[in-house]
Amino acid sequence: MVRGDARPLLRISYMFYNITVMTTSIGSLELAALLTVARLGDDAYGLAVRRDLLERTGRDHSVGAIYTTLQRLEDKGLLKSRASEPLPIRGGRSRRHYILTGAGVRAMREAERNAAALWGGLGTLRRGPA
Amino acid sequence: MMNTAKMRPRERSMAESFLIAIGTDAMFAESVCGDRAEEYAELRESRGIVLARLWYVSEVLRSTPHVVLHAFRKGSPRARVRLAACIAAIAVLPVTAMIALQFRDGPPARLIADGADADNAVIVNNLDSVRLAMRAFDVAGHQLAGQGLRYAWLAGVPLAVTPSGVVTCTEDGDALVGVSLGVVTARVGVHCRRVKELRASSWIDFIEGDSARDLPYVAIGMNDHAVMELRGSARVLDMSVATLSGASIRPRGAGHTAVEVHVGDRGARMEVFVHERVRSFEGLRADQRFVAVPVHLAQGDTIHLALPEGVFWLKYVPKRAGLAPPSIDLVGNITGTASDGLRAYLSPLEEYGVYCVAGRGTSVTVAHGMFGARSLDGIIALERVEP
Repeated sequence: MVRGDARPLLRISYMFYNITVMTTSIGSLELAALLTVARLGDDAYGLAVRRDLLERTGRDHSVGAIYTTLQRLEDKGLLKSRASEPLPIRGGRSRRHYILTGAGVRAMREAERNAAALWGGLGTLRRGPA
Repeated sequence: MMNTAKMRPRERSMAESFLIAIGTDAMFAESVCGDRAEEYAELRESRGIVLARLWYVSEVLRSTPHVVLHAFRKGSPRARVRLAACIAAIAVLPVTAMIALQFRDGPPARLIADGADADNAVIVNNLDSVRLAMRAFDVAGHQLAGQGLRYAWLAGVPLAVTPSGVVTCTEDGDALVGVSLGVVTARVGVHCRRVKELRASSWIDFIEGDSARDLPYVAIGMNDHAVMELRGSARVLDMSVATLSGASIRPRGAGHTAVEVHVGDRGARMEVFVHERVRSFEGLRADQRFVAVPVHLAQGDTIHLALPEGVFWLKYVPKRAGLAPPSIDLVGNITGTASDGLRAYLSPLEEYGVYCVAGRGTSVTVAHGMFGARSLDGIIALERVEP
């Protein structure tokens, strides 16, 4: 009886553990978007993020891809957004500006540490081929 | 966190309304459409309207998968249903287009006369005018509407043909009619074999288990001779009693039905009786309406069959045509349409029958004399009239 009750509890805790990992882990485009938002500061809205990514990585992401990524980051609590005043150039629509949250800053640092740990011991490769 | 800024009194674009309709939230739709509008305006200034429009279209296509996924994740159940319906509709379009391409009709390539033989010839048995029906096909074999067909007499016996294909045979013989639809032409042989009369038996009698028999009818032509080339149709009204195979009829089960035959503009109806084989007419159940007793009589033989009380047709049907009937006498309290046994009533040929009203204790006596055929075979059939 005791053993029978313990099993579901273990499963539930495992499920929560998964959720925790999922909310804090970020993909490569998410990380790139997070870094770009940090770099652009107050000017970080969809179009600016897209152009900055194109300039730095050479990859031309669609508007839809950028906004779904930004919204995922917002859902994870890594970004927050505010709407600007309506602008004539956007057909009377407002821009949506994004800024980093504290969790977003921590996620960036964690990503940097992970990258550094992965690159550790690969000094020759980091310097490039001879 | 999501900014809950007050909505401005701005009219949404169609694209924005569509995105919201499929389940994306309003702020997402506004951001996506706003970015597109902003970049489009800048591209139009810098590179011209054509390139700007091309960019806009490609951007919409590239964004679609992301927007759809977003809508599925964020949309309400109702919005998801709408989105699924949109996707299904979009998927149906190319499939429909492919099917339409596959089954589209091409230009006419072949003209074939309805009911024609291998030589594209038809038989006309009609005295009155009849339409020469043609079918038009394209190269792929699709049947076309056939509107615009034109007909004209070409050769052979004189034949009245209207441009719309109404044919009137004025004398018997073969004619050639030309048919055209656009640039496609065909020649149709018309065999005029006029039928003025269709002579048929009034009824056909079978006993269960009999083999198939040719339908007993003859088509009479204008010269009073039988016409052998016929085009027509025949149908049996109740296929549980008998079935047709070409011009033959085969019994299936006891009962009564009819066969209708049409040749040209003449028709005939034949009643079909399939009798249940019984040893005698005594003790019949109420549902046994069509019964028959096979009879085999050598010279000098006589048999007596007791008859039931009631109203019925009594017939003698020889096994083979041409055999003289036996001597048949009704005995007892029975009234027939003729007093001379069964011989007074002859229809069809070779069959003998009488309509009887019988009281108790009646019988029929069937006898073969000392002369004539060595033996006689046939059936005594009884068809009880429904009360």
